[in-house]
Amino acid sequence: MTRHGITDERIFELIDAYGADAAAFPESEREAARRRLTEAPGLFAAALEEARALDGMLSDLPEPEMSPALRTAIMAAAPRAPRTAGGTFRALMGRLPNWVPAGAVASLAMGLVIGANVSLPASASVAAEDADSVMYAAFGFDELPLLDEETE
Amino acid sequence: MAFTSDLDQITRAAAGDPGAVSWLVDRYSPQVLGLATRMLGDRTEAEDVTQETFLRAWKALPNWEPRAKFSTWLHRVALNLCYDQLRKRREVLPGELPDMADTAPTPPERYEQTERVRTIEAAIAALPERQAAALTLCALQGHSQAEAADILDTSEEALESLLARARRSLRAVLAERSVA
Repeated sequence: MTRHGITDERIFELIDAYGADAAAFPESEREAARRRLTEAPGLFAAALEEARALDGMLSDLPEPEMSPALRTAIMAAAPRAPRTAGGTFRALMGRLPNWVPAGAVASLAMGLVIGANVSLPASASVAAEDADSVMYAAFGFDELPLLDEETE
Repeated sequence: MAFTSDLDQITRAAAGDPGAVSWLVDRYSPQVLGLATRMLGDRTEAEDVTQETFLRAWKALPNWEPRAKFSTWLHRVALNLCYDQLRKRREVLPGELPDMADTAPTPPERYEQTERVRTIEAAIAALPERQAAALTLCALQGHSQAEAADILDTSEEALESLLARARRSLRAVLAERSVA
């Protein structure tokens, strides 16, 4: 065991398994191995050189490239969002400019307000006349002709 | 960090979010294809394995367990498909080495380099399958010892042994063919 807490034999094993680059060694032994390699470079030179030659060849290997056809095939089989009843409507609205749906909502609101104020239901106006008659009778004005009847 | 990110993307992909699906494919398909190519030494078979791996992933997404790591699972599926393919190949063509994918002629100045790459690829593909997998995961794809051991369903000590044997075999093969 060296003063760095790792044996020379263990460093040879690490080079044998992980190559010449100490960055590839297991994290728990990396620093101790680095210190020992720096301290006694000659001892490990031959093993490092042999490992480095293989590392170089492995790093020369090109990464296989994904073909567009393979990517397309994988994507085509992927999950799709479920189609809902409102999906078509939302899809249609989604393609329109933003002001179109907003304008439609505003028009609807205006129509409702105007409709409610302009045309009171017939039953509402009859109920109002009945209420007037009761009030006139209570004050004894029910015998008097109405202004509009007089003018007629 | 990648684990959390994976989980988020998996959830969205399972719901059919095309962006999340695309993210998963872009992130993992090159690794799966790389692993399969090194294991099988055959581009067409490697593409088939990659496609099948993702088909299985898409089926698994709706019931995905958050504690499982997608990357590990995906690599395991790919490896098992590679093992199956190698088994089939041994049954059909006992002892025959795999053909390399690209046989097109190359310019003379690149010939030596191309030959060297082919020799190394063939040597890796000819390794015992678990050695080839360990070497690909650690030396070529940069997985940590813990990740690679997890994918191979083995201990880190056993992984180290696989790596050492793989490198020794490669050195012997390459020395024999005078590539080194």
